[in-house]
Amino acid sequence: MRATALLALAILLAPVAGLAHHGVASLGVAGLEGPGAPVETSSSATLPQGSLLAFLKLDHAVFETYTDAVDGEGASNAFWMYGLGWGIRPWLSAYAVLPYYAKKVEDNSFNSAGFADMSLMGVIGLKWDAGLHLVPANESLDDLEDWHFTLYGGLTLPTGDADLEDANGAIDPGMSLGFGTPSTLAGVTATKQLTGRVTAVADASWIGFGENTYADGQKVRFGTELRANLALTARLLTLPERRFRLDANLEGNYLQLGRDEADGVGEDATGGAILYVLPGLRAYYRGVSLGLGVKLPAWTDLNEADDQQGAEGKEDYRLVVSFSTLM
Amino acid sequence: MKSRFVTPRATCRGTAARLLAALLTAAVALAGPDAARAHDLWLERDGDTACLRYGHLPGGHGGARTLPLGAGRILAVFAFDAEGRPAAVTALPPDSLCFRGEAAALFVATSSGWWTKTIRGTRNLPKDAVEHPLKSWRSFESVKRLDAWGEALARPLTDRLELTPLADPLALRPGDKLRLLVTRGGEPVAGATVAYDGSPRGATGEDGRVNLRIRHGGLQLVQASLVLPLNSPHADEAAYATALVFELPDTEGD
Repeated sequence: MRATALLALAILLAPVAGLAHHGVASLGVAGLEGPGAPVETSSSATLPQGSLLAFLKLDHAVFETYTDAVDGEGASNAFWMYGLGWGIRPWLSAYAVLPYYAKKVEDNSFNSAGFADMSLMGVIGLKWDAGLHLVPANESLDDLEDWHFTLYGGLTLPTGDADLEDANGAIDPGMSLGFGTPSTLAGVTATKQLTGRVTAVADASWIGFGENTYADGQKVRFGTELRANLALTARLLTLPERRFRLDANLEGNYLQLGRDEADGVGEDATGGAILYVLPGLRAYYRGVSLGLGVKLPAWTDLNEADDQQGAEGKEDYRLVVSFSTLM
Repeated sequence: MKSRFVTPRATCRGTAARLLAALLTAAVALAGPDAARAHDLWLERDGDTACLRYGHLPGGHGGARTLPLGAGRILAVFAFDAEGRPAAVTALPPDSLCFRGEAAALFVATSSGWWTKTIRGTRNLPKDAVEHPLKSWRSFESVKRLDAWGEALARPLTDRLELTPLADPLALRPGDKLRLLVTRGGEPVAGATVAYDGSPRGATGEDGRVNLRIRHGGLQLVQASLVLPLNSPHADEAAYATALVFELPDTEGD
């Protein structure tokens, strides 16, 4: 039942990471020597005051199938995230994301696609420079080598269709386009530029869900999600005259899913823990950033694992692509 | 034992200010730092005498090569004690470009004059003295050296483009932050490019401040540059560059 829609908030943050360098020395454009930004792990970046960030992210999951028959197993999910960010203060950014989901089962018996729950989020930026401070408006490349942190929080609004029915009129919350009720997110990030070329980023977050009563009367509460990500980025190439930079990323993404509840009872074959490994690349060209990575489940400990399919931990792979530009 | 005063780096055509400013016009990190490392101006000390030199100063350390420099370049020399009071320095014969005297802070202002880019190259002339001027500027360069510290030196000492440390820079060690104020006319300057050892590291904010990190012991070279419109029949812009120089104890490996 795990609704892949739950990824919305987590994915929301990642494009922000792609613009981590935009705070460099009030440059207003990508810095070629600033800290790097992973593809999936959220960096400790805030947007320059008054700047507008537009981003698009695709998380395309292809699931393992376990039967030879072409049946109702989950085949793939594509999550498109269309987002805007605004630098309210140098230390405070706000984001709005409208996701579009396309969920496909193997026999196409119940595919779903459409805009899902809109997400809103705020990010507060902090740094350690002889004490803890809010992120200032102007930082040099040397300032950016300091420890940087963010605290973030957000929620989803039930704008997607939670009561999507299949051909038989049944509702599968895992295939729906919304939660039907707001969910909340809170998290913290830390970023440290270790050397001129290497940056370490850590990110931990929590997502909680309310219980929703669907049109058919079932009551579902998705299990709490905990995430802990750790990433290293290394600057591979810079072409100053072309304002181009290429980074390599290696990330470990830990995800712990609580057991879903239906009518107050824990559901079998939901929840567990997954450790993903994500090698990736990020390219910067002028004010534009493009991230690309492949997310692979390297270790799993799923509840009733043999009965789970088409959910987190059961992917062949996830292709993660992000594009962002700062205006 | 010799130590050096260093003035802003300049190209063979005396365009250090322009080069440095251009480096950070939009993005500090986007500009190649090597562009600023063509030719340098610096002051070399021998005992109580400091002499202006021109040439190459690689990385703020030894190995300098000097080239001839015209004596007419110096506009003014200011010297201060640790309390910020004027100190006496004596200009030695002009051709030597040397000054004698003790000072906590010594500030030397120079100018390489008018420059005009033409279809036939860049010339050391105002734009109204050449045919087909494309772009023109007047170049100003200055340098401040600190050899002692007092709280009064945490404030600007001149009306020129000037780099001022906000705390005792002589107490810093590699890894420490050097917190700077850039002023002109005694007022904070926003958007000035600031470089360390010739590599741009940031630009000043609205408050004129920027922080750099000390990377090594020995000679410290910090530079700031700024380009402003110039309402003159001789040039379109004024290009300012200034340097702050001080020395820290050598650390192992420096």
